[in-house]
Amino acid sequence: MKQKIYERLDLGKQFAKRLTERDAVHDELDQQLEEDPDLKELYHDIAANLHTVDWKPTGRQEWLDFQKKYLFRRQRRRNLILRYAAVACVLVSAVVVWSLYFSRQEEPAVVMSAAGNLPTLSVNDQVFALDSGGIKRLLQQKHVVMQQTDKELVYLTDCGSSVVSEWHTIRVPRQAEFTLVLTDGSRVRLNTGTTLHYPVPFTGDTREVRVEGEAFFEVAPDKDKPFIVHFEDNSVTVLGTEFNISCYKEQPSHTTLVKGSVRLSNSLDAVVLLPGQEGIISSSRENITVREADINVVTAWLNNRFYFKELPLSEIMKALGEWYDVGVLFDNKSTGDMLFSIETKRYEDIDSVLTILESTKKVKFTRKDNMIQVKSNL
Amino acid sequence: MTESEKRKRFESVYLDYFQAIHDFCNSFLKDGELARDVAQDAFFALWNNFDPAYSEKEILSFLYTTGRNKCFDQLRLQKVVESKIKDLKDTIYSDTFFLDEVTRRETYRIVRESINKLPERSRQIALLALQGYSTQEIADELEVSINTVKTLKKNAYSKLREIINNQYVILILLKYFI
Repeated sequence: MKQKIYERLDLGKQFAKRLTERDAVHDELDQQLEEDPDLKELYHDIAANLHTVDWKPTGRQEWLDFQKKYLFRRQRRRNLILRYAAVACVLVSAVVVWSLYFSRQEEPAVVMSAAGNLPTLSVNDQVFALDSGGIKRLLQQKHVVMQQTDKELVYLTDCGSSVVSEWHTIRVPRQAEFTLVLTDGSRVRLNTGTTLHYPVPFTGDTREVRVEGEAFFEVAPDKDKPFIVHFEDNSVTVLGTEFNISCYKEQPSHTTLVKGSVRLSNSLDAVVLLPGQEGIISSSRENITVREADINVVTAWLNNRFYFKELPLSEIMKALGEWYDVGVLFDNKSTGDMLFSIETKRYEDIDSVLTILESTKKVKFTRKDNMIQVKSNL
Repeated sequence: MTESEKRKRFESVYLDYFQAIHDFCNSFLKDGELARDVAQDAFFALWNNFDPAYSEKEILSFLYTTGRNKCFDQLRLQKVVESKIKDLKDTIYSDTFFLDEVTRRETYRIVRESINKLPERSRQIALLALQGYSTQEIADELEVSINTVKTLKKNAYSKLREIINNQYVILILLKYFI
């Protein structure tokens, strides 16, 4: 094929030259055209359509547009990185300290294939699926006391002081969620695609855990032992309270307070949130934004519901895509910018959710395998 | 080769070939705006693989092939909702259509590139002549005498041939469709 393309590139040159020699007899090419009627027809068609061609050279504006769209974005980010180099250095050292602190438990090497779509619990280098069999195997090896029901794991508070503290990690896959009661009695509900890293039992002067994804915390009050949730390079310090953290990878994090008070901090900034407020961190290099939150929206997932309120369709589809594990494609950007509000049950298949959105008559969805094409009706 | 030199070289590639790739994509998509996006995507793919040492043929071959694939991706998405391209389907998915389009867009590209190197008056006359205007019509259009048009046209055409000849080493034509 490549050779054929090369031949046609050359042929284009011959044709171009031939067009400027209307009357002259061009030996080889003419012979070629006589021998090949298809080629001759093509030449005549090309010659006959010269008036349809845009003869202007490509303008500089076209190139500038291209640069803006594809090339500058990257460069600007690089400049930003330079500007924040100093901050980054501090951050890196903080992260290093962090990862040293937590390194004992990172990324277990063994993954149980039977786990499938079940949440898993990792202890040291072993992974246990959170079904009854997996827990039994864990309990045979470990001296931790816990009870498991269908979607809940409870660490009993009366585990003896003789037990050595070790780090556990729970990973909740897509389309699943899980509830955990930690050794201090704090209750954590983990939303889909969430990882929680925590010690069993808590020792020392603080209770510290690390989360990625979305989790709702009901922290058991203990004035002497602050409960600290780390996520990315930020942290929330609490005494006894209820709050939600949404901190999925590559998305701004939202910390929403339902009850009590929390202190939210990153390397630059720290704020105290009041009930009903949420703190948003887009990047660890930026200050924290505080605004009033809609608690019903934030906590909808606790009732197995989706609740999007006046959100761009692109964000809604992203969330749906994550939950139902499908890809989404928009016909153009303006479709993704349309605002929608929707509240619906979460466990229905995606088609019922899409039907609700389609009933607005503003968009149309076409589903093929794992891709959903979104098209504007406007 | 520094980053800025690479960008400079890519810029000239972009300015030289964009219109051809755009028109090429438009033959598949019949939608100028979409063709522009797809053509830009093809250039971005080239940028991500760009080596200034590539020959002109390698670059053009990459752009036409990538452009075609990206058009097919677009059409595959449209297919479900729109059937306007249905009757075109058999034609545009064939290699013959692809190769003929490459030939067509290359022909126009080379004429465009050469013609824009001519002095303004010659350029105007050559353009009109190429588009099928008669000598008389050109004379009326530009408000000059027929003889002036004849002379300028002759000069323009010979200059064009010279430009095309100098720019490209014309290889001995291989036999097609053997």
